[in-house]
Amino acid sequence: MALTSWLKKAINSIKTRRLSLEAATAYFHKLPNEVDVHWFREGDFIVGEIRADGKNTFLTQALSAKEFVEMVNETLFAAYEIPEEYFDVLQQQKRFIPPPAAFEQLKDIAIKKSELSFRKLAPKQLATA
Amino acid sequence: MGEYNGVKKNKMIRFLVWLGNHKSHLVVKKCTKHVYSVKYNYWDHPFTVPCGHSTVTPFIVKEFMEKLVGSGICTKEEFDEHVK
Repeated sequence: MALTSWLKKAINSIKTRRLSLEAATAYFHKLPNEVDVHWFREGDFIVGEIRADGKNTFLTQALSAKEFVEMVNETLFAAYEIPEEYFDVLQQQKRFIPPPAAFEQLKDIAIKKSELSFRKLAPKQLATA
Repeated sequence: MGEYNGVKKNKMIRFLVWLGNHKSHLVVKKCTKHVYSVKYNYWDHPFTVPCGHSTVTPFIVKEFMEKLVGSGICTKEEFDEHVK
């Protein structure tokens, strides 16, 4: 299976840490498949209301568009209780990335609020990218 | 701007630690470099508090207050005493 072989390679590449393939797989599937984010500007901050898999809502804040994407990812990893030692491994495969047009809206300070959806990349897509 | 404008990160973190030490059924954890999670037995999922900047935005502080007070974990007065 593409996911298992990818995870094995990722884990083996991290020689200094003991990671479990079984745990990494479980954490991968624990993370939501899609998130919708309603964001708005409050002072210097971009505030995000992250809705994961249509039910759970989490909050985050950032000072720039790039940081906002990082904080959405970090918030989801924290909310779904992913241990920090698995971040590198999982972020390579399940990093939530907004579409380019939505990212441009985040960067445009004239736009005060909007919605965007993050979709995780499927293992097959990454393998062929 | 609002009641909770300019809440300092350090005050929020101290409050989170206080919550974890004084409120039963509540577990506070620093999950990542910038995010704390507050887990309560009767919530479906934890409440995440971003603490990576010098202040926490008024919107998030207010939502957190409403969540805690609505769940009977603390009073608004207790909350305000710790974060303001």
